[in-house]
Amino acid sequence: MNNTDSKNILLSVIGVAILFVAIVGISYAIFVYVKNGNTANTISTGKISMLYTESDNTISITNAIPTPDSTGKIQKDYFEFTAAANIKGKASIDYEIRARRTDGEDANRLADNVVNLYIEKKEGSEYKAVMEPTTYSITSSSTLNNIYVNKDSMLLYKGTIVSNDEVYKEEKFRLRMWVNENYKMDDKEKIFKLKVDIYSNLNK
Amino acid sequence: MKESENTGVEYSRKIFILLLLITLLVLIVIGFSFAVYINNENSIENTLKSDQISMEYLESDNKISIVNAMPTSDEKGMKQLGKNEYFDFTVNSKIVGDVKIEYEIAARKDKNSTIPDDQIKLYLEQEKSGTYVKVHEPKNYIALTKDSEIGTPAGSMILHRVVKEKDKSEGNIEKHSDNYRLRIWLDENASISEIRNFSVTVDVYGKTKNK
Repeated sequence: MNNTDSKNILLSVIGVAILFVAIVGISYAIFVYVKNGNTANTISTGKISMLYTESDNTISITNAIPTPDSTGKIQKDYFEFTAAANIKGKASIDYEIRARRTDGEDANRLADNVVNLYIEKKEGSEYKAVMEPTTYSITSSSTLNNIYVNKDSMLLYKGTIVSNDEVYKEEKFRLRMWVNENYKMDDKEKIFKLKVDIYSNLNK
Repeated sequence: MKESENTGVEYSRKIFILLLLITLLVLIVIGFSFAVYINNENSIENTLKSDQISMEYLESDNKISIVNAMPTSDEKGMKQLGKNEYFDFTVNSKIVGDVKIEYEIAARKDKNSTIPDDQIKLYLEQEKSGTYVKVHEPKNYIALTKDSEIGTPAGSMILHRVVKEKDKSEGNIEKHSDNYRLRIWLDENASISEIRNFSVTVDVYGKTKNK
């Protein structure tokens, strides 16, 4: 019995030794390192808001007759609107002002090339021409590449607003339109309707 | 009868000694493991050393601090080099013997960040022969859904995973010093109709294994 007990004890000690070696071996293998940094890397956004406002006055010409440009440019009927940008941060914004016909497929629709459009922009206390009288026509291209632009419209004016830190900028415009003097009238009533859209794009 | 009693006592004594030895061994192993092989975030020292291996994470003085950020293309963001537009840090490691170190560089987002993860870009470079080269393409913040095997916790983002092995031709000791540069910017499709913010801190998690 003594021999058996001794053997059992010896086997137990060997087993424990093997276990010890295994644990130490595993401990050497599983080295863990954790270091949480102390530096917070932060970024906060600027802000851009664009605003387009229309005045109460609109162009509403009935019984229009062919008109020379010299008269059309000074007619008292005009449409006034404002494009404003409020920018916080360093940014450059391109924008386009476009006119889009809204009289659809109306049978009494005046042809595009019968109507002249004329745009002025307020500089200081005066309004100055930024587009001389031009027959309505579609401008199928746009310099604004990162946004959708309805190109079934006419480009009236394009500009850029730049902010180096913070800026609020307003630009006022007046639109006039008339039937050009070369139009041969007939006895049918015709119409020409349009709306003004503004598109803007942040230069990245 | 006396002889059998003596045998019984002797047997019990041996069992008692054996149990005492086992308990002692277990205590030694546990104490040894906790004392030497685990360095956690509560430790003041950022260096862990043993006869075999060591790791060290060092942060530079410059950090990213961008205000009034505007949506930025990747092409521009990758080249940001102005003051407060990039963050440099270093991971040092020492390998002795036949082991390898595997470590992860992780970005941990501040819970008060309000810019959505998909409107932020992160970009990591590593210095190679005096020049910083990209480790990966600019990526949105992509949080882990569960802890990684190396130890990066869920919620953080792994920027880079590295394995360091000793080159046998270098002798028995090998040291590595890996310099990194991190940039972050506002994704070019981000919305800026209101002012929002985003903040990340870099963490490093390492583990070794026998080859």
